[in-house]
Amino acid sequence: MSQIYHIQLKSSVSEHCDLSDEVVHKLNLTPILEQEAMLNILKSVLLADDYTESKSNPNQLTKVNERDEQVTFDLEALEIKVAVSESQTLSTTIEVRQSYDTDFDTRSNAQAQAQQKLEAEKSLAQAKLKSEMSSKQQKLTQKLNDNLALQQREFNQLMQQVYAESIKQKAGQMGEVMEVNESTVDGQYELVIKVEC
Amino acid sequence: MSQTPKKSVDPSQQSAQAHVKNKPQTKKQSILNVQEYSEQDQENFTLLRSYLHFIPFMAKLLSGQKPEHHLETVEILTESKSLRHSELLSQEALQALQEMMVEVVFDQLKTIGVRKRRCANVRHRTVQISRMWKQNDWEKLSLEFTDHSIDLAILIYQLYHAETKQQQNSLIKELKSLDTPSMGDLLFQFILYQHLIHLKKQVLWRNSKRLESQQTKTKQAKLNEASKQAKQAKKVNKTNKASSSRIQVNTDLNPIISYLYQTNPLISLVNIDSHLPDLELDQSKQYNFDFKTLKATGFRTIWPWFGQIIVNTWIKSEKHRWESSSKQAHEYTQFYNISQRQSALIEQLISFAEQEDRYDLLLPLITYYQELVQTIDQDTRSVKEKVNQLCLSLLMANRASIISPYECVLNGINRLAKIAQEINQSHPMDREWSEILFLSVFQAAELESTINRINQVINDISPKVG
Repeated sequence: MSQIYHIQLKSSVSEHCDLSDEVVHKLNLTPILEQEAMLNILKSVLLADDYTESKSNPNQLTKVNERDEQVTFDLEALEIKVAVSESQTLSTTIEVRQSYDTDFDTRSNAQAQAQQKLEAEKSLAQAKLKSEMSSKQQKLTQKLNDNLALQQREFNQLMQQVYAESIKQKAGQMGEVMEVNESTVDGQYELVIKVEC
Repeated sequence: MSQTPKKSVDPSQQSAQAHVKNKPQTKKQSILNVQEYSEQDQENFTLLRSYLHFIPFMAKLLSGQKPEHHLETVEILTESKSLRHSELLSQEALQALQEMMVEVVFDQLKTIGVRKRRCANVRHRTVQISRMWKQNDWEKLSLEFTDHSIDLAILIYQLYHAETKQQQNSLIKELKSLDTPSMGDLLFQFILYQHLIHLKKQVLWRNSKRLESQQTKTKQAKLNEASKQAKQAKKVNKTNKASSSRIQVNTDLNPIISYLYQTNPLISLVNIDSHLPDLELDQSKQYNFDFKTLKATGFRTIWPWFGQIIVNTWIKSEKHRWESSSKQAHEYTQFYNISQRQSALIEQLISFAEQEDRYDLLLPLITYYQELVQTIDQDTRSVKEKVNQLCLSLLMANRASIISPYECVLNGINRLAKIAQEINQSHPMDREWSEILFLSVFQAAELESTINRINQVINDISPKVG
């Protein structure tokens, strides 16, 4: 008597990927004071802004900002590196079914066919996951790109503190500082120092 | 055949334009009179045949036309391997070749690179340059063609007719062992390169057109009756054979084109955007230009005029670079390669001028930057937009390597400004003539706005903190 059987095979496919990207800003320090003095001021400004010295290199100060970007100031190379990274594991389950009639086919044949189908489905699923990963990588890069202007503004704010402090020290070197006025009007920072030489 | 003695030729005794050094002496008597030669005198007959085929071949090549194939004469210039190439030519053939080289090369060089300029000082200079070449002052510059040019011409003829890969390979080996060229030889190569590239492009274009028409014909043939189809297929086969032989001709030119491109710094300097896909270029050689080699060959004499050609072609390449930039990923390579090479050239040229105290060599760069700013400003899209578009599908981490060579190209103007500033700080009495010339042209060019504009572009494409 003819009987119909169903074979069902299941498998899971997963792809692990470490997504990352980085952008490097060049640091142009206007030499108000000696380079070393400028870098010392920059270091103290960074430490006050929650940056920490790297254990391996004291000239590298790092911080993870509120956008989960790892910011590293390299005082030797005069570079600022902003890196983003993400670890992702994408997985999916695939299932194939194969039916066979005992009058026309054998179980082993049907099983082999089901296995073949499963392998084909697996490679399709892997390709799909890879394309998904690549689109996630693009999104990550785009996010970093979109934040460029914001990063630039934040760094320039830090640099403003460095220059203000440098100018104050320079003024101190020039003579007796009589008066220091700092103000910000419409986003424009103004520093007036009266020095008696 | 034993090697014949050579003697130097006094240029004043030559015909108006024949300047050849160490010209080999072969046959003194006229070889045009065939009756003077017996049938046994195979050597003379060879010389006559080489005269009748080789000279028209070179004439066509040097005038920018496609030379004929003289398949029956293939053996002429290849059979006597033990001889130096120039000794395979008769005295008459040599003289005809030399006169033709002088006329063609200098006539064509005169027509390239002369431009009108805006700045008063520079305008004055341009007039001088044009006059120099119009009056054939190259004679005073001691520019001469040596055996190198003659050997090269013969090798080109042989390579053009080479039938087997083996023949080609041995000829390419000989090509690489040619003597050191003089400045005249470099200029001959320069003109030759332009013609070979033109010829190659023509052949490629014709082949593609022929292929298109073949495809159309084949499609039509398929629609026709079966018998007609068979006839058509035969025709197509014949045309295919003809076409493939032409492709072969074209391919044969590649070793010469690559050799010229990589060994002649003048060609590399001018053809910065040379990107023929099938040229086998040694990548390591591409960015390494030795200006000292040029110095040894006396390039200072031709530099003021040659600088004009560089400015013209670099600006052209700049326009091409921006116009062809698109969203497609494969455009990156071209953009990157041109920028990389251009930046390397500018850096090396400036360093060389500084080392040698020859700041006058930098004058073409001043014009280049002025024109570059105009080109950038004429474009509707900003450089930043274009760079963003170019880098769209790249990781941020990989963008820097694309942008930095271009930034270096632009940064050259800041180096020029620094040189001008340093010269300005020295006492006028202590200045060398090249410093005075550079400073006067730099100041007259009023580059302040150009420098600001270029720095703005640099900051746009690669913003700096601070």
